[in-house]
Amino acid sequence: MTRLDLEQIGCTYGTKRVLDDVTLTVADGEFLVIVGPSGCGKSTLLRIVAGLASATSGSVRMDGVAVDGLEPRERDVAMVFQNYALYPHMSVRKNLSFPLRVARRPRSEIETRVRAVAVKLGLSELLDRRPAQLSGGQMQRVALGRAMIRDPRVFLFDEPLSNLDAQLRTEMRGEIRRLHRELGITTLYVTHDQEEALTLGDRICVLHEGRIQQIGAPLELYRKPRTSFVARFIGTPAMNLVGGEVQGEVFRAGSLELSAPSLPNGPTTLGIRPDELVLGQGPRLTLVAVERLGRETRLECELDARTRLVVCLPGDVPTPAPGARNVGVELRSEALHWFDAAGRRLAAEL
Amino acid sequence: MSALFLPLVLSTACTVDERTLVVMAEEEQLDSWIVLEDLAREFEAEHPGVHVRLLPLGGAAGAQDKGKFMLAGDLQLDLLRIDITELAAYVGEGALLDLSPCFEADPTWDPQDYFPSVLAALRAPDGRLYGLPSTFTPYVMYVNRDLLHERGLEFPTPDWTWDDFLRAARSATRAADGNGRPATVGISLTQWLQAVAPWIWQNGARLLDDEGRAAMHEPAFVEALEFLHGLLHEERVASFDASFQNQLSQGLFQAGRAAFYGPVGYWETYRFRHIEDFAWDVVPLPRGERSATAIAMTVYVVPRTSAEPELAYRFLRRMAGERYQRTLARIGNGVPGLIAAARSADFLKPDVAPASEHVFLDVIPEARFLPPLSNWRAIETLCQAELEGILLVEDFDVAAACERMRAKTQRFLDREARRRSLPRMAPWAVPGTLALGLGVLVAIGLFRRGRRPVAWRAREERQAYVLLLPWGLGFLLFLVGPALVSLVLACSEWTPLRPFADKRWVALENVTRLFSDATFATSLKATAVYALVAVPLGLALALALALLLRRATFGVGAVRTLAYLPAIVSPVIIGALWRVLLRADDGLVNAGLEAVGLTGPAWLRDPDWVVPAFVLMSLWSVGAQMLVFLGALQAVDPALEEAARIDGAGTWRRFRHVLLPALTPVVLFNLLTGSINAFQIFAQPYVMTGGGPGDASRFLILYLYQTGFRHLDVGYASAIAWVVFALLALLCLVLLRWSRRWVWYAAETPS
Ligand SMILES: Nc1ncnc2c1ncn2[C@@H]1O[C@H](COP(=O)(O)OP(=O)(O)O)[C@@H](O)[C@H]1O
Ligand SMILES: [Mg+2]
Repeated sequence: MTRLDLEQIGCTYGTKRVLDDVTLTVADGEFLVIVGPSGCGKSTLLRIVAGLASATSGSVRMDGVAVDGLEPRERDVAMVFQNYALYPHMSVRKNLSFPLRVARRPRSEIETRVRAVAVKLGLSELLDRRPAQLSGGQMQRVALGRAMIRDPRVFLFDEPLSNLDAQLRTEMRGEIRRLHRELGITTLYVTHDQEEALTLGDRICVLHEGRIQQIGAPLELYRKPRTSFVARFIGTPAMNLVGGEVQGEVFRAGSLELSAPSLPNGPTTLGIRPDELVLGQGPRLTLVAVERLGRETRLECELDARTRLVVCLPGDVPTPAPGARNVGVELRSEALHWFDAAGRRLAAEL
Repeated sequence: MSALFLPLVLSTACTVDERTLVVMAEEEQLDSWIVLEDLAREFEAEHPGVHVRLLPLGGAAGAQDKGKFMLAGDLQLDLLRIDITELAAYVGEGALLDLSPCFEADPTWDPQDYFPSVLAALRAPDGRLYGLPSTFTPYVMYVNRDLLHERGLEFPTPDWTWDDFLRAARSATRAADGNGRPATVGISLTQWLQAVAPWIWQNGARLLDDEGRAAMHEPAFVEALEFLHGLLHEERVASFDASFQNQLSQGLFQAGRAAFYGPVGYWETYRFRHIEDFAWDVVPLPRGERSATAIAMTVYVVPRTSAEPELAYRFLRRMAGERYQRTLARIGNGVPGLIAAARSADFLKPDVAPASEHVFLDVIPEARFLPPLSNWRAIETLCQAELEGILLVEDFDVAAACERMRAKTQRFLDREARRRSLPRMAPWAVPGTLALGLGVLVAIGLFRRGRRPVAWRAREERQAYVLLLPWGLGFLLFLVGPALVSLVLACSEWTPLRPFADKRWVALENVTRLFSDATFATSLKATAVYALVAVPLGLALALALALLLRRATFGVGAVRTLAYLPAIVSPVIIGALWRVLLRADDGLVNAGLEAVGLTGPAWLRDPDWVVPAFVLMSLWSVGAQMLVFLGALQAVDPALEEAARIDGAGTWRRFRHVLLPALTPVVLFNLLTGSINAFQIFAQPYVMTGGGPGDASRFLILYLYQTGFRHLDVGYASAIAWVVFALLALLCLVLLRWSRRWVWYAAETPS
């Protein structure tokens, strides 16, 4: 059982700062998801933890012991890659047993472990196949099996599900969760998919341009995004953000005026989740488009030429026809998020 | 409209009217070419309507093959310069026109104008005359006057003896002293058959006996060669550097480090004319039991494909006439065959070294040609292998080598005698084989095509065939056709000196000959050893280099380019370069070895080291293979290696279990192409060793080439070609079969 500490990790390629002062702790047995848009440095961070790349500054500790400069095998981590990285010329059996064979474990032990892992992952029938003869989901299972076969101290996942179709992805998500519950191994999981992050993680770390935006439990991130980036990134459809200005406790954005008690003067961004909006008394908008998804109905509205708001109504409800003006939207004050010019959450929420 | 056409019609009419004389008599890069051009223009002026077309003598290393192939192709060739050693072959094959009638009808012709012995060499036994001499040269000894003087030695008298020579050579030989002065040797001893022949004749021995049988086993012959072997290995007063292959590239004598140089011909005066560091001269060869020397000569002849023999004769007289002969003498080509030119100041050149040019004339009475019996160029290559053994290798059974020389020569002579009585090959053999081959190809095509395709596919197919046509024609014309013809040739006896139609049928004799051909066995063994060592080593080195160069770091681009560069340099250039690098005494390779305290072998001179030398060289050009490996390495998903690292695999296991399996297809590719290339090694030994020492580097294709173009035995050469092809095909088949067990293809999904 292992606790993983990243301390002020920085990483620079040439003049490009890929990671900046990343500090986080993965508790023993915890499932921590790092989420962020593509190119934000997630893989780099994971590779630094694995020992495949080295940080420019900072330190990685496992159970308090610095492992910087150690080879991956000395760190005893296992990693699952986005494209699975199965050895194409080896059978499934050989792929699974490779870490054990490299470690020169006795043949009988290898045999039993391969069998156990195969049973656990439903691969027993496929042991003699080559990767090229497997489906995406099966390859994914083999990659998982290869990672867990030698009981690593830490599991690292680098977008393992992004090559799968939507249905398989949901299925595998459940599988990964189940395995984590059973094995209880400390896990660092990287994805660009916030939904995946929300459903999988004990805690989530949002990364943006190499900087940690926020770390917290999924709902915490959803409810109290600490930056406008997190606010927009977490949750579908994304939170509506309206740029405006506060003057004397009144927020103005174009024709929109809202009372903003105890907020400082200055440029301010208003955030509100689409599903927190209801039709009713409030600012008058123009309805641009309607999307009916059955479970919910999305209305795309225009406040003025600059500002659009998405409204999400539960169920399949009747709406005005697109093009209708003067559609009233109710902005409940407890649903409003406020961010300052730098995108930081303003403490004065109600 | 017609006005436009008129000039065209006129000019065509003119070319039809014009008579052309095709002359191939000089090398284009030599001074004599310009003189010949002048002569041609002058001849044209005197003979209106005659155009003299000058073709350069082709071929490297004295292998003047172009003329032969013009003859073989029945192309017009009116005047040709050949080496006297090949004259008998030309005459014997009926490749020359008898010029006697022209001479007899010519009032200006006087045989007395030419040196009698020189003219005699151009006459058939029945007195017919086939041409006139260009220049010739008796073999003499070059002397470094200053070195002799420094050692307190007298300049040799014209009648000096072997003993005088040995004494002088001994005193002239000095090891390098502490003052940094280089070693000097008594003699830089020339080592090819014509150069060795004088010693043999001086000892009273002979190459052929009175019945024309090889006589190299006779005691006096063996004794003469033992004397030379002794000079090199017991007395140690001689150097090795003057072998035939090295002749043009270096010279101990030229460097002032040999007292004597020879026996060698007049052509060296041309090379030595810029020596300023010391005074040099020529003397007759030292005499043994009797005086004798050899004579080399080029002659002008009129081939049977001449369209204008009358004009050719007239031009021949010009070329052998006083003005051109004197010009050749002035340039330094050799001794003019025309006495007046030889005695003129143009040859004797009183104020240019050597002072004693007259020596070349003085020795003519005792100078001999190789017996005018057969193709001496062929016998020379046969004997060269043994001569090199005798002269280059210290522990060598001279008598046994002489016996081998005799056997080889005799075998050749026997075959020569038998050749002309062989039955002619049916005229339909070649067209028949071509038709049969074509038929088989078409049949295979039809068979493989199977069922008639639907209309749109048929149309597409037709278009495909139209697009394939240019390539297909080239393939048939330049590959399948010649291959089939060579199949016919493999069953025949033919030399390019005879018309192609005149082939003799020998059935499978050429193939059975291979089994009793010791040279072929040696050649096969040398090639196999070379391939067996060079190919795996090359693969390993290419792979290692590719692994090193794969990571993109600073300067790697330059290193990659450098590593690839040798692969795009012509093998001839590489050969020339390595000949210098591998020199035993002052080559860079041995200097490098010395720097780390090792004594390098004599590489190209040592039968045990010459194949390793070629292996070494081949490793230098692994760039192409490296590039293929590099490409394959870059196609390997880097995540695989990272996965292996995570899984705990070290460098070796990552290579062994991740990279290597991905590389197996290109390993196979490189193995196949490498083996094929190794079996076909030709250009490097051709320029570097000519097959020697002995037969040690006479690789298969080199032997094939020499058989066809030196020995003029195209049938046998074709048989060798087919056997090499069969061996290679078999090898590739075995490699491909074997590869199924270890090659892994990415697209492969085994059932
Ligand atoms: N070896 C490298 N050299 C230079 N730049 C790199 C290297 N690896 C990653 N980067 C850069 O670092 C940034 C983050 O990359 P990465 O960690 O792969 O992002 P993510 O996994 O979040 O999509 C990218 O802009 C990428 O171009
Ligand atoms: Mg990534």
